[in-house]
Amino acid sequence: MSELKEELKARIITQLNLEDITAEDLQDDTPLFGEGLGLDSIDALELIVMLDKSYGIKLADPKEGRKIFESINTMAEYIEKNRKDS
Amino acid sequence: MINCRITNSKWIFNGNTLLENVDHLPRSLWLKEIYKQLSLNYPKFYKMDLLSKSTFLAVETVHQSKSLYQENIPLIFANSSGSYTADEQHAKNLYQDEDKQVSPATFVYTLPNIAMGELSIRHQLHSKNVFFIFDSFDEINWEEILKINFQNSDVNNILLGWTEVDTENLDIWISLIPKDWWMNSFSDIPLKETYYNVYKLKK
Amino acid sequence: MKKTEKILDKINLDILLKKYVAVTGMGCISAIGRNIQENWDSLSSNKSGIGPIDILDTQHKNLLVAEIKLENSDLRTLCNLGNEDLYTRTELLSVHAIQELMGKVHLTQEMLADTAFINSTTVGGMDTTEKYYHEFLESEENRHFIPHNSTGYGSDLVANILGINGFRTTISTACSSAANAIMLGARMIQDGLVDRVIVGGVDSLSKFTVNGFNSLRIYSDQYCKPFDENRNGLNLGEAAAYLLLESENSLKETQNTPIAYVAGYGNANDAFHQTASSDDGNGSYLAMKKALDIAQIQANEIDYINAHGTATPNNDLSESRSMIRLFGAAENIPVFSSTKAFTGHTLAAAGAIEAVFSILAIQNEAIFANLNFKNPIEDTGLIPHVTFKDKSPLKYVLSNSLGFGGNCSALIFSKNSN
Repeated sequence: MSELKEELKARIITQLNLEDITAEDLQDDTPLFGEGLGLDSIDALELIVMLDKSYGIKLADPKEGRKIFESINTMAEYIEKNRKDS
Repeated sequence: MINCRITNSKWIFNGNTLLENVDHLPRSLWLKEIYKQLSLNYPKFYKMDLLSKSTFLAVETVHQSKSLYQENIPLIFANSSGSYTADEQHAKNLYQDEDKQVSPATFVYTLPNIAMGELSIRHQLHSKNVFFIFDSFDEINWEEILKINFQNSDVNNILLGWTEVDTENLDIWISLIPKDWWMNSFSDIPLKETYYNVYKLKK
Repeated sequence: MKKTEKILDKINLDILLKKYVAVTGMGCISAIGRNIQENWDSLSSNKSGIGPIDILDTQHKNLLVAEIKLENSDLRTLCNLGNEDLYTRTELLSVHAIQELMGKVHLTQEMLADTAFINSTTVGGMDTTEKYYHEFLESEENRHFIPHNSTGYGSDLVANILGINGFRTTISTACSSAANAIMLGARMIQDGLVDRVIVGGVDSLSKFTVNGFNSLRIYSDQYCKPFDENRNGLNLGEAAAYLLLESENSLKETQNTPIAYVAGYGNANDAFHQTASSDDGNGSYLAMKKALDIAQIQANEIDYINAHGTATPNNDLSESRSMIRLFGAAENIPVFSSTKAFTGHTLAAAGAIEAVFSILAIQNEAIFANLNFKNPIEDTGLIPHVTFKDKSPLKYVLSNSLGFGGNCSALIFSKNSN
């Protein structure tokens, strides 16, 4: 799981153009939206695209994303359970 | 009149070169250098496309000289290529694989006025915005544009912009025009000179 | 020219606004009709143009669109533009709508040569670029379309084809583009810069936009439900619509009869997000307020609002709140409806096709339906007008067009010049 978390951090930084931030800055439980990393609704959509492209998970309702993308921890948990990539 | 010019090779403020792209950095890295020079702490910058980034930096340069924050300043911008670089990226993604590759963050920038939206967010501007497509900077009758937009006693400054970003070039010109300068001493010569200065120096 | 001659008169706003801006003609084409009459027939019989995709070549066949059921070859024939495939769909739609407009007003070649043209579009020639995107590299056959991609190229081409030779430009500000074109035309007339101007906008359907909006998760696979609690997104449409605006001077020359007036206009930025609207609809509120100021009327004089109403969860709530704020309370809001359940969201053209509908409403004393509405948004309780209604005299109609980039525009059309 910790490998997945490191992978996630790297992917998020690249996918979302978070140039100022390194993987070390991103704690596993840092809130990604709102006060923590300050991601917005478009970032959430990009994460949904990433779930599909990289892990084969198709999210039908973007609102589900709220809970899943709370932190690296919640994302990793969700992906572990639902991934459909080979 | 306060003016900022950004091209592939120079960052110029009121006729003075602030920085030259001596290492011939590609546009994205060149703009990052300017961002650092401005000592900005605005992570949203990195998510913008080239058009929004370059426009943002030129306006930020002007703002550091005269604050634009929450002012009633109409934004009147124009270019000839629209949102070309974002369009190109979105097209590349999409026409490769319609189902898989489309990026919402890229699509957001496929409109030339999004850059003005970014400025409005940054400086909390609720003023009028309009974006024109003209073939060239020269074609534009800035005098008429200023006349139309100063006809309102609330407006004391107008921000004009030529924000052309195509496959290779950065051609950004931002000018803050105060009403009293317009009323008392307007001539389009200084306006055009601040745009052409760069090319004169090249020779 | 001496400096003193260049100093413009301190024209104050009151004198400026005494110059009226007459609308003397219109032309349009949309999914609900190939001309003004057909559009009226559909509006008055609650007949929507939204349905499955037929012509656009996309994988997303589950999405609904408001498509004009004419191939480009049909449009060429209707426009008398010959058999060769030389024009983009966007250009063809423009020509078609402006030809209708020209057929309805008195404009000689000389007058046209002196008429300005303010067009607007977001798609430009992308509808054609994407058809031949891969081919361009492999074959020369369709490379003549490459310059057409630019949003300005089409405007120039259309103006040249039709002999409109005054000042020309193209505005590109997302969904408020055509409203801004109308606004600029009105301002230029009031400032004495032009006497006569054709204003409006066009966008054709494209994979570029269908996929783009779909990636933002605001594209519904059902018939869109503006202002409904259970709305879940928009349906895109295509259209072209143009108005002829004339000054008093121009009317003396053309002898055209005004059918309505551009009484007010306003544009403001929401300054919240690149694509989402603020919770309280601030940009929309400010734009409507400015329009009222220019029209020199109070909010309670508005008889009907043609809302932007795209049926996205975000827009309709935000716009509702801005209306409540402008009118003081929900119960003070005049009759309102969104016609996007008829035409789909036609992007740049929206402000123009809805201007045409606003003027049709004034001319015919009618209110158009907000189709597909069942339940009001819980947060606001607002109820749009859900069916066609005639015998409704209207003095002032407000039309909203709210674009990405926070670009919010409002137009007020009036029956009379005062």
